[in-house]
Amino acid sequence: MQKPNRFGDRLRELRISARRTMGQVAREMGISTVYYSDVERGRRNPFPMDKVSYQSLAAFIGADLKELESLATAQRNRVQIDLDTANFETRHVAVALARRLSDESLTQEQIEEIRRILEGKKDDPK
Amino acid sequence: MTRSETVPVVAPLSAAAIERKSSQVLRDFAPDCLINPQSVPVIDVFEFYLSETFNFVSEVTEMAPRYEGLMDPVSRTVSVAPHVYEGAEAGDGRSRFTVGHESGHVVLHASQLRVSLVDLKSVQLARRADLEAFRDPEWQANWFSASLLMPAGMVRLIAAEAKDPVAAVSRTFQVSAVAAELRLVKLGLRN
Repeated sequence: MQKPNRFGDRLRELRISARRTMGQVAREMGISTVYYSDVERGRRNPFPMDKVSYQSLAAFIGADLKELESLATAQRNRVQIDLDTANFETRHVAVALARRLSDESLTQEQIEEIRRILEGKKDDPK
Repeated sequence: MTRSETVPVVAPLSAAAIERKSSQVLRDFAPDCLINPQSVPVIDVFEFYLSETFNFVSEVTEMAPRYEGLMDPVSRTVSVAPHVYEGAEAGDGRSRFTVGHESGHVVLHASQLRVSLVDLKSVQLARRADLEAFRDPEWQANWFSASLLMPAGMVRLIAAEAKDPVAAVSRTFQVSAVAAELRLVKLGLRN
């Protein structure tokens, strides 16, 4: 399954509307074109905010700064798990856990219980 | 790509048909290039035209050393290696030709290869050496790139006035001297 790339897709859309090439944007940001292109394609995380000026980026492509920052933050906070070598059970658990955390359908008690298991603690003695 | 390598077989296209396709791209996207002899904005074609007209995503990505570009009709992605992109930006003729070549694969081949791969789930392959030129996708993409970067009418204008047509075509259209000379020969303007 392809992972969501809302930041890169939106960046590409805005850049093309502004008629800026990948090379022009990369130069403006002081990064290589291949790095810029990788971020746009979702192969790398959105640019780190302490290293790249989102203000310059937004101004250069006529984008809304808050929108770009918000999409970048959301994407950077995403947790990725490599399941290529995982067995069926592990995959099933990982996907189920991700889904339940994402739709916030776990109760606080269930989250606590999962945390106890992950931290290697047995059930609290009754 | 060498003549011994395997390529997907594509619908035959004559040189004249390819010239019409490249002219159409310029009419749609950069009509000035069909009025005054000038360098065609091939990076803009690669990035903007292919996106807006064919819904393709263009990217710059690291590739194995002998690869310079790639078109994937299923994911609708067209890629060039960093050195090719940067060369094309800097006006290097050979790099510009490669960007034009990959763009040619999108314009000429993407939809038919996508149908073969997605609907029929197979694609017929052949050795380039066994194919007539007009059935060879690499030959077609090369002709497309040459005609996109050096529109026939504009080359004729330059050749009619220049003392050194190869140098003039190479300089005006930002192509290599080899590509300029070959284009003049193919258009019957040089022996």
